[in-house]
Amino acid sequence: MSKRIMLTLICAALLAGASSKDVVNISDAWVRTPNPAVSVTAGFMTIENPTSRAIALTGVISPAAAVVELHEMKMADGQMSMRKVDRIEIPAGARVKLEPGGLHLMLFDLKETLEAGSRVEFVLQFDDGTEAKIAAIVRSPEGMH
Amino acid sequence: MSRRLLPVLILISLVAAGCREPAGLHRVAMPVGEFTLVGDDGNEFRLSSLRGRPVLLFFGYTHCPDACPTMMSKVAISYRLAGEKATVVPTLFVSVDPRDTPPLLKQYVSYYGAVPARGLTGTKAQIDAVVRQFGASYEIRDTGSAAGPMVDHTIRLYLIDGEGNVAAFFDSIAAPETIAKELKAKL
Repeated sequence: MSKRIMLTLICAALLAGASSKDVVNISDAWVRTPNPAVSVTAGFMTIENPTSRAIALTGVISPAAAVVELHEMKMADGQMSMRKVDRIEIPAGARVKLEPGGLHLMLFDLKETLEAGSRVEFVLQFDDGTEAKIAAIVRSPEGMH
Repeated sequence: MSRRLLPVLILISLVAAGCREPAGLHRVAMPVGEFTLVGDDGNEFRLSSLRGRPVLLFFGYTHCPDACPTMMSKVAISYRLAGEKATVVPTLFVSVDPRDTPPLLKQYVSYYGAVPARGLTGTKAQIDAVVRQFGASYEIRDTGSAAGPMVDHTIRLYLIDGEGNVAAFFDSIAAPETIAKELKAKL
């Protein structure tokens, strides 16, 4: 192997290593199996921002639903309050969880029958203009079916 | 602190710890007696028709994307933990959303097969009266969502005894084990 090729390979390996610290990581993405009576459900995931700059999730699109919105659920004195939010901030070096009872994606006007075990594609749009394509698994929470 | 006082204090704190209720369980003695709503079969429903057996009750709405499905799956786990006998205890899903019709409620609750659930609705006056009886609240708000109005509402699972009194309620942090234990104790 020539020295030049070797150098190129080393550079490529270094760049590949660097890129994982340079992009937002999405893990544990899942969608609750929707109740067939209604065309609505929720999606969850963990978003990790290993970079040194804050980033915000500002939009989500999916072929599985006409509308995907960012929602926040809060509890106060036993009362659940749900609202649509414009952005979900992920500070530098932080990890934000979208989970039942808190932040979540609301999927409305479902275009597909979302069976447990199937996959839903999402394109996550961030405020710096970047996008992340992910696939979430459809599943029923424990105790169901 | 005197040496004599210390064991007494330890004993008191041990007893207090033993008496502490599990997280999310609130024991109350709240007489409800009777209420009238419309069942998911379209017929009038009276709480007194279930007299003699415990009942679980929960306010929600079918288009609730997260809180209601989360509570319903927790209730499903609770029934499984409580065993076969607990299925005589019905769960009443009282909708606080005027968009929910009896047929829609019937389809919605039937999805939660492990829960012997009945959907209930009614006129706004009927629903408001029941919400007041349980010391609960709800508010229909337009938050700019394409899915239409969001309904903020009380997330409590009420346990009603066979005489129409609320004996306890569970808030959103209550574990299914806690709910199952109280269910079994009322059988």
